[in-house]
Amino acid sequence: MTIRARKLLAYGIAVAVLLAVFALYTRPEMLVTLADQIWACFH
Amino acid sequence: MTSTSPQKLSLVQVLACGAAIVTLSMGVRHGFGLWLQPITQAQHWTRENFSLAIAIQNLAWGFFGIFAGIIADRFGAFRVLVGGAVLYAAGLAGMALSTTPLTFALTAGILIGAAQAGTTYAVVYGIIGRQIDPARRSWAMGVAAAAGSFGQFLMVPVEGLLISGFGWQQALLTLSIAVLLITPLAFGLREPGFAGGAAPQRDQSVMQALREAFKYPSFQLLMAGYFVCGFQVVFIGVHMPSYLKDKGLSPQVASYALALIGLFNVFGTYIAGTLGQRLARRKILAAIYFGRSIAIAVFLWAPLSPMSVYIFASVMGFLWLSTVPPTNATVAQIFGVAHLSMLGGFVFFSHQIGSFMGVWLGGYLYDRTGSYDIVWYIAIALGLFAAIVNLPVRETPIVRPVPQGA
Repeated sequence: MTIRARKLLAYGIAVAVLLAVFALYTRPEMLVTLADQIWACFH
Repeated sequence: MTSTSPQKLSLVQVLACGAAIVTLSMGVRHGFGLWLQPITQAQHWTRENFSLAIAIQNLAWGFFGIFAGIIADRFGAFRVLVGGAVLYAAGLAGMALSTTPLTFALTAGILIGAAQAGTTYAVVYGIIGRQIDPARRSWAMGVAAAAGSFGQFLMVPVEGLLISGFGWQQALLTLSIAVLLITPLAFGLREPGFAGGAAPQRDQSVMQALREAFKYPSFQLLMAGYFVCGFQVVFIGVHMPSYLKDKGLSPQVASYALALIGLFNVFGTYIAGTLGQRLARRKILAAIYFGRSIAIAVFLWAPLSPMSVYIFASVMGFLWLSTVPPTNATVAQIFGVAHLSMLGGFVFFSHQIGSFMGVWLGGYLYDRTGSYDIVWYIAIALGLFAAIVNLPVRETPIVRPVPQGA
């Protein structure tokens, strides 16, 4: 595997992991829990 | 300076272990706000009890960072990282088991603040500075900063799941075990130059290095810029959800905004570190601070909508911790790496004073005026100020007089 291919693979994995974590934020129940906990700071 | 040993750790080893440590140490602390509601309800404490402990933690992080840096430069970062991991575990367990606001302030505030000082950027950057060639140093600092940003992004939902799955107390105890992983990772960062407990020989004592740095105008300017970074980032991170609520936006908008800040922060820190290898870092820093002021101004004056919030969060996320690699790489370039952790600790202390001011002034002026307008304007003005003060920073290595008889 060339250096360029390795770099592309590393960037691809990094982006996939970031999108997977972002997906955690979009789950409805997670979002509601998180939002409630954030909002609780300001009641 | 002679602190570098001829034998160096490999680039991959330094980056893998350093990034994993910073991911853990920065990530775990980032979700502490999620414990506000469950802890205050379970213990019948006020919100002020919790907030005071977190404020103490931020100041302790900055204060102990100086001493963690001195110890890391003198005895090696390995010892500081291991000590920091133990303090972190003890602090998290203390958070879970505290029954009074005082013990909570001592554990969540002092212990975890000291632990963060020993396990985050200043200490890890000292290793990167000593072990990685200047030609790749800024990039490597960008990788480590991106790892810390990723930790923050990752751990908020993970900690939310831990709290809802196991309860707030078990979640803290689980994290207290998880942070002990820093100890085996620290073995990968044992620097050959510090073997046997003997400190490497240096050209300057701690006091000489301090006197030199504090008399050097560029160091003062970098500290001033970093103060602004702390002020803006923590003011926005803490008070933006409240601001959005006042403006009638739904809670989900605030959650997505924080997610976008976390996501773009990872890209921003990495790109800033990479650019620091090719461009003048003072210009990168000036552009970041100027960009923040523009972003805040446009956000305030444009019609507010969920989309405007998401765009603002993405732009601010991109500029969020992107100041970290160029600031620390510049300190390393000017003063060398012999006292890098200590000098990084002082610069970070300035950041934490700014953080404290951002949180405190945000709350104080909101209570007095009923809005955040004044603090937003202060944040814009400070961004312009930081952009201006970073421009004259001299990045070239400082010229030291040659000792007599040398």
